[in-house]
Amino acid sequence: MNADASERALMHWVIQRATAAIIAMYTVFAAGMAVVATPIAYESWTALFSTATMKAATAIFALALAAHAAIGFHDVLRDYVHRPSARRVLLGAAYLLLAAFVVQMFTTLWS
Amino acid sequence: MAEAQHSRARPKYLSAAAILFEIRLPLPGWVSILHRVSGLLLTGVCLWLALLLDRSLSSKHGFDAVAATLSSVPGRLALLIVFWAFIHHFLAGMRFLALDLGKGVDLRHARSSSAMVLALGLFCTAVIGWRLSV
Repeated sequence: MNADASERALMHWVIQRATAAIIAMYTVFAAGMAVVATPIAYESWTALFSTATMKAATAIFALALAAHAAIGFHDVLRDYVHRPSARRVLLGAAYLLLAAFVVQMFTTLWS
Repeated sequence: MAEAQHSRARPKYLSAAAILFEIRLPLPGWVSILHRVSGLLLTGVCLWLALLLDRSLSSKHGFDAVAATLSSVPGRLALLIVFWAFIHHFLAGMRFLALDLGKGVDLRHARSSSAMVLALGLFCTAVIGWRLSV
């Protein structure tokens, strides 16, 4: 992308807030379920995750979480890790972890 | 930020001990740093939680195994910490959104909203802890 630093910063800021909103909506739904539907049996649990709606919502939640965490991690490293090489390594490790998280979630939902 | 230029060694008083026990962080500062700490913690456990989800959905045996793990004493403790981290991060995040909109920026409201975030977070965690112990 040809975005300069200020455009990238604004993009990060917006994505962080937008993904937070997505995560919040999913969380409210999950918390509601936890209040009314626990303890839950295996049959109901698998039934919950068998619908296309739940799978899609959870997948979107996972992607939003990964993007939100990636940006947050970038901010934290930028503030505390001053050597660029160390920062890049740690950021890369975080991206790897979050990518594994997303892949794992998608695998769980659709296999 | 460019790499630090060390033309002259400048005294730094930022040891962990100094930060934790000597430098007094104001309440909004605590909410903020805990927001970061909780965020890091949640990132650290997200893959583990995804694996638990996978196991719980794979078979009845897997479901029971996950239930047993989360019912164990270390499991409940871990769950409690993760819940606190999520709740605090969520509430502190909402406080940040309000600050983005310019609400509660003055000192008095910044302090009171910080206290509310911390208190509500601990209260919700206590409720969950009570439910987990039952």
